[in-house]
Amino acid sequence: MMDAKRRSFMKATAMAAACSMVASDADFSLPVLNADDGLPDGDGLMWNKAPCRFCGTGCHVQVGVEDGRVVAIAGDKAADVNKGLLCVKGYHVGGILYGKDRLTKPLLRKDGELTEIEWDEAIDIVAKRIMDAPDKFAFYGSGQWTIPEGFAAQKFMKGGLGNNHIDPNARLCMASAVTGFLATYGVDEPAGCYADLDECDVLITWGNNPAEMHPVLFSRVTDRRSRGETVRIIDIGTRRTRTTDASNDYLEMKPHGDVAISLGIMHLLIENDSYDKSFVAKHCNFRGDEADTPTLHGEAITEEEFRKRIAKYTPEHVEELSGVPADKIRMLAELFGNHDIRITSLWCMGMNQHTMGTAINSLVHGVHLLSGHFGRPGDAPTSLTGQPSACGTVREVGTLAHALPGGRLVAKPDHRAQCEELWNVREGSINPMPGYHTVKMFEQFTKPTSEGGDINTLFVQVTNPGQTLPNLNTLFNDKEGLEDKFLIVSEVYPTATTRLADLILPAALWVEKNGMFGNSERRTQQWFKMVDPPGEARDDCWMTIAIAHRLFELGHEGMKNKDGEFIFAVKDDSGEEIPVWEFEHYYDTNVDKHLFEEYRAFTTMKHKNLAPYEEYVAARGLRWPVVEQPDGSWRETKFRFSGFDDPFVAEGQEFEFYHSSSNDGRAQIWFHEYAPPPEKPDAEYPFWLCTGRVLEHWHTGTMTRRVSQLSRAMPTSYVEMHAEDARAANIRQGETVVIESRRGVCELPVWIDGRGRPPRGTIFVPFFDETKLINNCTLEAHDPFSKQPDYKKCAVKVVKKSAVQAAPDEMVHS
Amino acid sequence: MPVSGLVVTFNSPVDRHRETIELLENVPEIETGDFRNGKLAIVVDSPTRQRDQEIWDWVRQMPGVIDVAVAFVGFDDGQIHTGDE
Repeated sequence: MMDAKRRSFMKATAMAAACSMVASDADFSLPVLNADDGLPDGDGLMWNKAPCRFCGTGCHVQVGVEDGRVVAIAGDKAADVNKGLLCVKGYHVGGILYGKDRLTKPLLRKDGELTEIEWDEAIDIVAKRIMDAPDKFAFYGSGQWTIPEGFAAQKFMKGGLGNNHIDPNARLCMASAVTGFLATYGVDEPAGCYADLDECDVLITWGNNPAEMHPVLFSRVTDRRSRGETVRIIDIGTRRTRTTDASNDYLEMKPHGDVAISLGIMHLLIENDSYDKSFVAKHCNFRGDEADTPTLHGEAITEEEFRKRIAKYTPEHVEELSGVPADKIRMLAELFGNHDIRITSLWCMGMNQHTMGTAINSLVHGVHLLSGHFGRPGDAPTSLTGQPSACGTVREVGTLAHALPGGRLVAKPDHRAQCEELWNVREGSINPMPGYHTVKMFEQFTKPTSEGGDINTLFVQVTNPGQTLPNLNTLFNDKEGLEDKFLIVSEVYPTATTRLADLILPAALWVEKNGMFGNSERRTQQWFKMVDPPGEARDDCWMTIAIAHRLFELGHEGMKNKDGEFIFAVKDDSGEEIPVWEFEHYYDTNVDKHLFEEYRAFTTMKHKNLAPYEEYVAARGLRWPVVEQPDGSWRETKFRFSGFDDPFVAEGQEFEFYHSSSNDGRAQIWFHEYAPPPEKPDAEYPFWLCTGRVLEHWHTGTMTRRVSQLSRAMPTSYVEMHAEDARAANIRQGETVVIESRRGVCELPVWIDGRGRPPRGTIFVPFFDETKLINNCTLEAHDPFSKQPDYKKCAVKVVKKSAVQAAPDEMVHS
Repeated sequence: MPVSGLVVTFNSPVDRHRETIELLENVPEIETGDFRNGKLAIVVDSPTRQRDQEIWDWVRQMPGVIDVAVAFVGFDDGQIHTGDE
């Protein structure tokens, strides 16, 4: 228990922190407080900075440590992202370390039972399986990998093993955003930044619920209203949410309606002659799909051809396709046609988890480009990420099956040569064939070897595919019983994935290790280890290095560089190698810093320049490109491609898209034809199923469900249902129903008129609850370019559980 | 026994919400602090984490309140969250 003195100290600190936030309210958009204005150390409490462990917003927290434990969390007022504020999950982030069921010892499944083993044996088992069949090994990673963890995994696989079967869970959440940016600008990630939220007159959320998923960002907008500013929020969605509650306009669309709406806006901008002719003439080309085999590159079309193709997307036709009234389409077009206001679009999973994900991303960029609402503060098409380093680790380090660090591609000989040179590995080390993307990787792992399933060892780090993959019965559960398939899982807690693991490796979490993340606005962030992990839990990055070194000892040629040294060799100042593959020596040096400095050399190749490690130690993150100034300081970039801020735009140019896929400094305005969803409700499966997240839990709930307050606030998953649909089926509030699709079933209690309000014919289920796996029902159909599955729409039926119990053989399967 | 520093955001300047402020001030675990424009600083010193959550939820529902954000939270050493509660 706290004594009175300590409690008084805590209260004084709490009041000081809250009052400082109130005092800074008026200058929310002005430069942040001095980074040295830290919280007072005292009474045994020491503070240090870290980014929050949860979403892609990238809030900074101050972590209070006492006697080797995290005992306090404060919003970091020196952080530009959150300026001292946190959401309810950030409030509890310290608690994620202390669930009582932390994994603390390697566990090997023997005769069906998990048995404790030593780390040495665990590393041996992994290395030998890889050595025996290096091309049948796959590495499944994460947008929660730190940047050094992802870089080490990438180098190990592509530079060392010559194996490209490495892909991240971010394939499931933002791959379509990547392909949308590449198709439009020739280079990934948003041009703008969070400052757009402070400047926009209109905020449009496209299938997005930032009030719950990115609450601190959303509060930047609602705070402006509390200061008397006018910000119009337009929510385009398939169900009402807390974002709707704060919106001026709610446009309810049918699934895939976003594609039609964006085409309708562009149609009217052309028809009304209200598009930005000067911007388009100077900075844009028009593009459409190739007739034979569509690619991300597409083919050039004339403005005339673009006009012809888009002519049929009249407001009335768009109303038929999208369900949004024609006058609302006209309202949107009038806003985009108004050059005196600034418009920011936000999106996340709604547009990304979409079988037309690349198309809808490109089309929304196109709306902004055609209307000229681009590149001025407040005028921005911006995708958000769900994970803390989906951008930093996945998109920038390139931990995708086809990619290399620095925006390089395995398929391009010159790109492979550049990476081999920087990694100092033998010429030809990198395999030119892209590896398996996520869905394919798990298909090949869960398919029997005799039927062509050619992945037999899968290493999963920092993610939970046993809960997040679509169509779990096929893509994950089919692993059970396949004797020659070996699943290795590095985790902090038991999960739906460890349930089928053959080897479980206990992992360090968040401030139990050094780390770096990259958030949604291109901001690279750094933190130091503050507390020890429990038991024998260890860093994921160490695991990769230790496995690589065991392969080096076994004689694997790929684990040697051109000089015959270990590919992860780290030397001290005297030139002596530090044995970082032995955990007791891992923190003899800062391995993160060594890996980051190696990685930095890649980042200049696509103008995503990063500063030296020490700059990130001093800052609350920096937005790339970060470029050294004549005085030796390092300057970040808020607005890419805009001449007033981006150092890579040629002098005198207002805008320049310097990675243009047409090599002329222009962005591409795409035309894509509307196509219906791959599966639609019918007589047998009459409801749309949409899945997603809730405020209280982060993704699969592995961390947040172990925080009692969050778990108590949202203890179980549920199905949101329209009252009339429930009444028609004689379903009562709270009653358990069975959701059934063509792929599987899931039982859930019904929440009528709950937090989210779907329209008739639609249900919504969050995916955080491992006891209620809604991904048994979802569809693995995916976007042809991004390979990202669509979790937002498939057909299901909803049946009273009592009816299922009456006829189990007919209703329940798998 | 958590101690938390919260920032309550109202839909208009704080001084237009006297009734709500009085309700807050009548709760023994709540101490109100500075206010400016639409924001008010409060400290919640509650005996249990359950009570802390109840207060949080109650404040969120108050008339005129549009957001509750966290500036600081401190926990008693022996009481930090555990997974089996």
